[in-house]
Amino acid sequence: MKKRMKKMLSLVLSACMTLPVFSAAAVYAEPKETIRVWYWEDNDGSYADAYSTWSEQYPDAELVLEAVPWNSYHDMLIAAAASGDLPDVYKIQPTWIPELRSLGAIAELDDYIDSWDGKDTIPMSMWESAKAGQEATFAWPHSLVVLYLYCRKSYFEEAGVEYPKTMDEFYKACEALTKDTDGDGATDVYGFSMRGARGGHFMWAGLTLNNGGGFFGDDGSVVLNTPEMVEANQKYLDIYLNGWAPKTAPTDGYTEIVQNFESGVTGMLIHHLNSANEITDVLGEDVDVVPLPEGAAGRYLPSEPCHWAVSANSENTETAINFLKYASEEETHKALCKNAGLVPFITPVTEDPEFTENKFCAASMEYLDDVQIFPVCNTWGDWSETVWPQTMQRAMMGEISSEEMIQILADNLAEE
Amino acid sequence: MERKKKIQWQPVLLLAPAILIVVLIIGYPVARAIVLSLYKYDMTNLQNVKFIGLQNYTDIFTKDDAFWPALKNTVLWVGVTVTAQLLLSLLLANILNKSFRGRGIVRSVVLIPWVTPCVLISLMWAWIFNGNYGVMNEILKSLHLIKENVAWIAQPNTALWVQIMAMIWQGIPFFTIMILAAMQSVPRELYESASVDGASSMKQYFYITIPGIASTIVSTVMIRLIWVFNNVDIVYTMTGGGPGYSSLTLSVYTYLQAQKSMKFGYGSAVAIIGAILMSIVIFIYLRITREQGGMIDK
Repeated sequence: MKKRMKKMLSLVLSACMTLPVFSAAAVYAEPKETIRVWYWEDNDGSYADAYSTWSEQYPDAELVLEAVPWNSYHDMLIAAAASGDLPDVYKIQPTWIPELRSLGAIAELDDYIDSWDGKDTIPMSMWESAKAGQEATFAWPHSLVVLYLYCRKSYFEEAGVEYPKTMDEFYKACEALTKDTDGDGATDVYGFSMRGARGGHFMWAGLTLNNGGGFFGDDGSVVLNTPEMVEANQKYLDIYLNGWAPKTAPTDGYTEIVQNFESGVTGMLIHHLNSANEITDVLGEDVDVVPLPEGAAGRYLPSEPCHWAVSANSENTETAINFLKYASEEETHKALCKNAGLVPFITPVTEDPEFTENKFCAASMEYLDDVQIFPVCNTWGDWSETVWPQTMQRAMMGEISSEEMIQILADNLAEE
Repeated sequence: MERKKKIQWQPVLLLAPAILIVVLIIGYPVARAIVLSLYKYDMTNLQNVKFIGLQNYTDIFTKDDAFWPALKNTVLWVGVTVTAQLLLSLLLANILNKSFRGRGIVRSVVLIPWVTPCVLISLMWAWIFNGNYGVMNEILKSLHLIKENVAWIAQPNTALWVQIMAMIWQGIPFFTIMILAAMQSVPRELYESASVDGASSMKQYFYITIPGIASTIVSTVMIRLIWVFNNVDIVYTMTGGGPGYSSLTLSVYTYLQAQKSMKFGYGSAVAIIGAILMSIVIFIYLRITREQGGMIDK
């Protein structure tokens, strides 16, 4: 009897061991398609919040959002493109398109765009920006910011100057706002938050190229090196050399220029909507925004558009395109613009009072169609990442003249 | 008649796995870097990759505005940092070798800079020396040593020195611990017999302690020479090599060329030049210090 019991028990136990196999078979389902997306954050967590409804609309595809730090984003992207390890969808700036094309890493999107019902909700200027002067479209509009001038209201009232509309008024304001407030012989407040480190080429372009200069002529040759540009550049350098910008300006990057403005060290700052929440948190109503000043040739509004691109090697292209369409839906676009501090460009979000009644957003939207996109060429990455900051800093230090600086910038912009 | 030497295969076979690993993880990357340095290899323009012989090298020596300032800065960066670390660590190790109340706690606290990530150290020192709100300006102003704020890391004559200070601070614990360990391994009997013979403390230090720790100092200095030379994070985080080229070192320049400008061929050439220069320095250093336990035989 005892022996039989043992046999029975061993049989039952053996049967139990096979149970997981059957249970696994019972719950086995087709594995979900996975879409990997790379982006850099505009505000922490804003993308995850904005795209949280993806799984409701596309339950069969898992969305994996991977935030990559901005400082190393371009390097990582190019390295991933060269090694064929790109995610399905990734955020880009239009100036990177030639590099990615040369690596065979970016898919052409014209057919998908033409067959999409919502194409007209995105303005033509954004589609042109995404096209970036190429013969085909390789990017899908994602976001846009427009540079404007933050002005410290109380400083202007105290100095008795108006917000600048022209370059002459801007330089006068720089001088008028620069002050020794405690009478110790040292300057405590400077006119302008100047950025000499990486990324400073945006404000530099906004305050010099409005003199009529440009990067490339119609025939594709570099036209940066003109006497007018040398003169405009000298005036820009003089902001630092005259002591109207903090002494730290040569190495000041984004964090420093914003902190200088928020802490009252400077009276003016050029940036965009992205920093508005942070600045109003600190300064409250003591800040206004005006468009960048006009030069001899009007306004030059350098923009920082960003777009989505789809990997040429993606195995889930259709789902990747669905993600782009989803990201361009009214609710998703609104949520992202609100959370990340971006300028809405998709109809009808552009008419939403939440954005139109916000002075920072309104100032950005007013000039949406006048923005200038930087040239799209192979040399731009190196030029903007390394050549511009090093050359600018050398000129600020007096190691090279304005003329030499412009010559170096022009030489490095030209394709070999 | 000379007898033919028989090859001993057993040691070769036993060493083979280790040699294979070294060849794979060191030999291949070095060989690849040398080959890359002979090419125009821009990651952003892979269609135009071409063999250009030594052109990258001639461009570096003849056309590159940044290379010579970077080389000069590297000599200062490595020379001043390692010398200062050695001298300050000797002083600190002597203090920590004495017996006093709370010595264990002090020994632990001394390690803090070494265990702090380099990027945090850079940010911390950048804040201390910030030209607008930095605590250093406040201290110097309260001592009436300066009248107005100095933009320490935004001026070409001070930027590199602030970073050297940060690097010295970071590396002292490693040196100190190595020297302290060597000091404690010097036999006590030597000091006892020297005392019996009437040798002063100073004489004991120079004739017993220093010779006793010489081989540790030689190897530690060599390690630090290489580490400080290779360091990228402090300079890159604090100034990115700027303003201009004023704090650019060869390692940072290599990084900028390869990782930021994506010029892998040119960046490899800068790296190879740096490696050759460093090898020469290490060779000379070991020749000079062979009496103290350097690795090169007389």
